[in-house]
Amino acid sequence: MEALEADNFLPKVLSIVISLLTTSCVIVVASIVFPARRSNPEAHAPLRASDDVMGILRRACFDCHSNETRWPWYSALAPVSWLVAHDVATGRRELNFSEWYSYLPEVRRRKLLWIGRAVGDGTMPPRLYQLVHRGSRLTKAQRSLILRWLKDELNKLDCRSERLDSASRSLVARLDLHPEVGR
Amino acid sequence: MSTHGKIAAWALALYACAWALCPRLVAADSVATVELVYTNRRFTPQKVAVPAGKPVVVRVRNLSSEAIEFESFSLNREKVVPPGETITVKLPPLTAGTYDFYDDFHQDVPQGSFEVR
Repeated sequence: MEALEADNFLPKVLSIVISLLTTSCVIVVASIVFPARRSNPEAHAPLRASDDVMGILRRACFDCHSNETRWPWYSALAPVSWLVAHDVATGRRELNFSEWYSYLPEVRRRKLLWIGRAVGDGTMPPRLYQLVHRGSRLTKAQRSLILRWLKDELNKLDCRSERLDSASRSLVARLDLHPEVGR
Repeated sequence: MSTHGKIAAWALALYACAWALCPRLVAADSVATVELVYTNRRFTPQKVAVPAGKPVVVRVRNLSSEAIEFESFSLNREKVVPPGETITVKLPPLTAGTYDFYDDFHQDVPQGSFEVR
């Protein structure tokens, strides 16, 4: 009986080892043949803010929303590499702090409003990102600091001007950036 | 089939038609549909009158050769429209006011607005 179990044990272990080796080979080959585009282009017009604000943004936002991405080791391994590269490309396209002053004031104003809403309601940083990057979690005090910075920036951009639509004006006036229009 | 039978069959058929069509007619009447076309780096029309208090369906057709992002902070919506494609954005009933929309991928595109009355 024991001999029979021993006879079954060895092929099982062997098949597990072969499966692991095959998977590893596929990952390595896929990573070499279809590498994800991981680059940190030069920052042309980076955001300038206080050290406190920059520290928070750098830790919680810059990986996806700047050209200063800290590429983790697993971002070199397919298929995770493709997902990470896609997320970073999407994040930079939506908002790039390395190109902050190349945005027109009107565009900067819009981006500040969206940042305020996302930070205020806790949708940013995304939960999955927070899970992997523990340091990216924002405390209440840190969120408040970001919202204060944002309010200052909006005031500099004269956000109460007639150029804002009526709905945004009422949101900004209360600095309650939660949406009035639900999803 | 007797005369009574025929009348009953016709009545049943009419009732079925009314039952099938009426909710759709009511639904079509209670939803405002807005069509926006993006071409030559602008949305057309740029100012859109929308009735207050009705759900709104916005259809955005991108006739340009590059992707755009239909976005509105006040409406809390953002959606990428690939070149040559049409997207649909559903909005709940809106209160009176102006709601800007713009293309988030191109800074120089003039923003448009929904004028809700």
